[in-house]
Amino acid sequence: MLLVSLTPIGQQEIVRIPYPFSAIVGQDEMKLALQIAAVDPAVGGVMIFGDRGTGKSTAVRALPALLPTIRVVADCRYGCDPSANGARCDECHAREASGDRLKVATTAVPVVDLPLGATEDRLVGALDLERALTRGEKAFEPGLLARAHRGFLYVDEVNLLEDHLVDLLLDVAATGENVVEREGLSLRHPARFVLVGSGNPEEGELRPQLLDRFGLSVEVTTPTAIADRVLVVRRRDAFDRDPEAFAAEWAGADATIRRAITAGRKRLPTIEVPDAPLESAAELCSALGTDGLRGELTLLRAARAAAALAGRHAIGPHDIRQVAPLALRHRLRRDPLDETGSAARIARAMDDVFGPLPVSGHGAPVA
Amino acid sequence: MTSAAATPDAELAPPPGVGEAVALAPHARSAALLLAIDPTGLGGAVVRGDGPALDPWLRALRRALPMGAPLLRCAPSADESRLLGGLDVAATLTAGRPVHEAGVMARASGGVLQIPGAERLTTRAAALLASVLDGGVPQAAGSDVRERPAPLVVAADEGTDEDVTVPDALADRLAFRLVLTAPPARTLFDEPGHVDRDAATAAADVTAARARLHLVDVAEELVLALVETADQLAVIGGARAVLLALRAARASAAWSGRTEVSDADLMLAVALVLAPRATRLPVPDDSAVTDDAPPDQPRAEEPPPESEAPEANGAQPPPPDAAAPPSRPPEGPTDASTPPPPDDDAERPIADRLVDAARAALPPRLLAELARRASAAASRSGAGGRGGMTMTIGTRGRPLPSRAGDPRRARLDVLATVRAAAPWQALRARMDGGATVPAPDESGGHRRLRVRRGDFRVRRHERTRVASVIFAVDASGSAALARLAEAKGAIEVMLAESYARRDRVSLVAFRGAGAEVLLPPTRAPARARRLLAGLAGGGGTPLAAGLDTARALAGRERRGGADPLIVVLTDGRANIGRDGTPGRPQARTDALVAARAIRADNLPAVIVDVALRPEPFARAIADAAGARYLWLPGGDGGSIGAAVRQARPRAADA
Repeated sequence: MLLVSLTPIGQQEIVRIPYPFSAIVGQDEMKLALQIAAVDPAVGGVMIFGDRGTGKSTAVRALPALLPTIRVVADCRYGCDPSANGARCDECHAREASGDRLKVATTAVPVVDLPLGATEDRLVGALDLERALTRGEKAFEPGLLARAHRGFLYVDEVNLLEDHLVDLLLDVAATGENVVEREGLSLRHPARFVLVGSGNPEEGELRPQLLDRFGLSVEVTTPTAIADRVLVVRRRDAFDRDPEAFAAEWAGADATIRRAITAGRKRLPTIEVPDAPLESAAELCSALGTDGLRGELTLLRAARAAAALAGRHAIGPHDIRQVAPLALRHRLRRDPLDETGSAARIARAMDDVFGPLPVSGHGAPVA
Repeated sequence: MTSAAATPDAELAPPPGVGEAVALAPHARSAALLLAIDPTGLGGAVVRGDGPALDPWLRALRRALPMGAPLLRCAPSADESRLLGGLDVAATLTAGRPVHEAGVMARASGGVLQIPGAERLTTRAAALLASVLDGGVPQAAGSDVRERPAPLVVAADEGTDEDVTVPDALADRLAFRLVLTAPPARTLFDEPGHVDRDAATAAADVTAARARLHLVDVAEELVLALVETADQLAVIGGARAVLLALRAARASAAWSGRTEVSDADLMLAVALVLAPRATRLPVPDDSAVTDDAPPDQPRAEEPPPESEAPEANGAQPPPPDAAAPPSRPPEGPTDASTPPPPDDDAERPIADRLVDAARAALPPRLLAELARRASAAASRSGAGGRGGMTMTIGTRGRPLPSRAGDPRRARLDVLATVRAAAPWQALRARMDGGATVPAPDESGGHRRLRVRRGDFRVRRHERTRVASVIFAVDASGSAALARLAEAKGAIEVMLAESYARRDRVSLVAFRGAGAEVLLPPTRAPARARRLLAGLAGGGGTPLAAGLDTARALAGRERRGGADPLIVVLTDGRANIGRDGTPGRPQARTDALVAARAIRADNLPAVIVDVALRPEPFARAIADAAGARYLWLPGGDGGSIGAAVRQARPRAADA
């Protein structure tokens, strides 16, 4: 529920065990969106709207435990992928060109936190002041973008981040490359990551053009049922008392998700896209009047990832239905002062396209 | 648990060396003890109270901590390198090798970090502190290696302005909120022998309690009761508040040597953690309990607070009736402990008793505060520290000539720095050569540039300033009769425009006896619209109060780096004076004085006359305030919008 690392009760040292993903109570939509992004990072970032203390940070920080470890070039500052077709930074390029064999290490998928108020220097990287001062060398000190390569970059309260930083983040996330041209430094390095933003819309909105560039968006709320809230507190309390035992208890559930993600990634390229769901996706987007094609593309991508995650071989209407709110919610044209819930509009449009929600089965329309 | 019912006054037994020597406010010494027992779990406290009140409490806290626990102070303006450490530029240059300095968080680890004036913490600093409280002190700024636990953070809120409080990101993570009052003059705490003897035992007891902490169990129904209580009180901070309360209860049980959390532990936790976060106080459904309610009625000699005007606070829970028990002695902290509920209450559900505990823990006159908190809770974190993001040395905007400065606080202008250092190279080389540094550089061959601290030049940028439009809306009965609805329509048009321009918008409403800030400056127009829609008209026209409140808000926005614009919508029929009393002549004089203050502060303003026919006094107000006067004919929102556009501060268009 809360952040990873309240120190365990009675212990004064830091134990870095994240709260298990599967132990998060409810918040199914958010969990699905993060899993989809884990299966197919190309789906674009995930934007999470909701109040403070609804498990946003916890879910993001629990991600590394769900993802298979990655292979990196051993002493590369940018965590380059050693496989033949992986992107390389300049340093790895130079080493490869000179005939060196790149040493390989394995590491957990990075999940990097961008603190509110971080400077552009910290994000992009900057002149290494220490080396410049003491040795007179012009060296680059990589920033958070480099650290997040091949993982997740989490920006809490992204709506309070300065606009130019959000622009920069989304640019890098889209191109997969950080280009630095400043202070006489000129370099580029790969920076492919899934951007996860969170924010409370009551504290300031994100410009629509930025919102549009997040692939998926979800809304989380504090559970209202007392039983759920007690469960939240009990689980968190059990975790605080003995993180290791708690993590062990949930390891099985986490492993199930990890297997689904790993299998989903393998299956992803082979998922078939029949014409019918393609058409209904287009129909849905036109019924909702989403601007541009980004909505449709994301909808299809996300549906494909959802099908892969569920172990299916082709996209079905069920997948479209499941991910449409995530992919389209934030792309509806709207009056900033209009408060009609976009979720309701999407539900209505889906009922028009697919027929009312069937009680069970895979979305066979019930007439 | 049975014993707990007998002692429902949820105060811990005074610990040796902590309690006796220092007379502290109720619960304050319990809070100090609990913090000492579970420092990383409870985080710290937000305290209100001046030096004479705070210092004894800090001493008590330190005495409860293990011997030698550090107590450090850090200014609210502290930057990242001060908090988390970094390169010491001056020392690095002198030594010719990197010299790192430890941050104040690392040095205070295991002890206490006191932040005076914490309401002035920048968003950035609050976010850093929050991350340290969450995960421990990083080895260096930006590092992921966290080896030391966070220190207890004591954020002293010294603000006089109700709307400026400790940033939520930090306050949410600090378990306790204490209002400390100065101890009576005759206390023993400075008698050295006394303190030293007892301090050792207190610390030993705390250490023993720490060891017991993880053994303490919490029964399922107590967790349920805690969640229900939090729900009834509508606490801010969600599940985090409940968890902090649970940890406080556990620490309390450990202190008493129990392995099971009792009702009394829970009551203490509710009083210390949940009550101060409450935004709502359930009305007691049981007449016997009414006696426990805090006396809400202000004492006779005090002027009634503005917000207690009946019309202005329709949403507020009805205050307990005036026949509540006589108020307590004003400054008697030891006497002010909670009156025990009747013994036959022991069978009542624990959740009910917890709500009572919360009610008893709330200081008098808090109901008005609760109402304010509820209205501010949703948007406060945005307003709290945003001032910190508008610096004179921005990282964006039109570049200005660089000037001398600290390269850790702003971007170094390398070229200008080199240029500043260049003329002195020969001289410095000679001086260094004559001193300790050997002439041939250790970096092998190439010559090192000799840069001194004074050479550093940092870049400056002129920021595009944010415009902040403050709507002061006359919601009095007369204005409502006139055209409140049309005024609302006009504001909505302007809100939509503000949204498109990324202006900040805030809303002040005045009616009845006073004015209140309905919406602190925000960029979320949806909220403004909702508040506006729910704004009912009625009561007198306290124009002076409305102008004063708008001016104060505008001043704050200007200090925060924004360009304010006041838009007053009124029918000009002022009939309530500054002091809240009715009377047209006085009200008019006060309104003119308030208007002149706006001119004196050089704040741009627009007075929109919403009366059916142009009201001469509204024009007089506009003249006094140096404002544009505008009569709104036929509910035409567009024309107001155009006028505001013209009056809008220039800079925001740049």
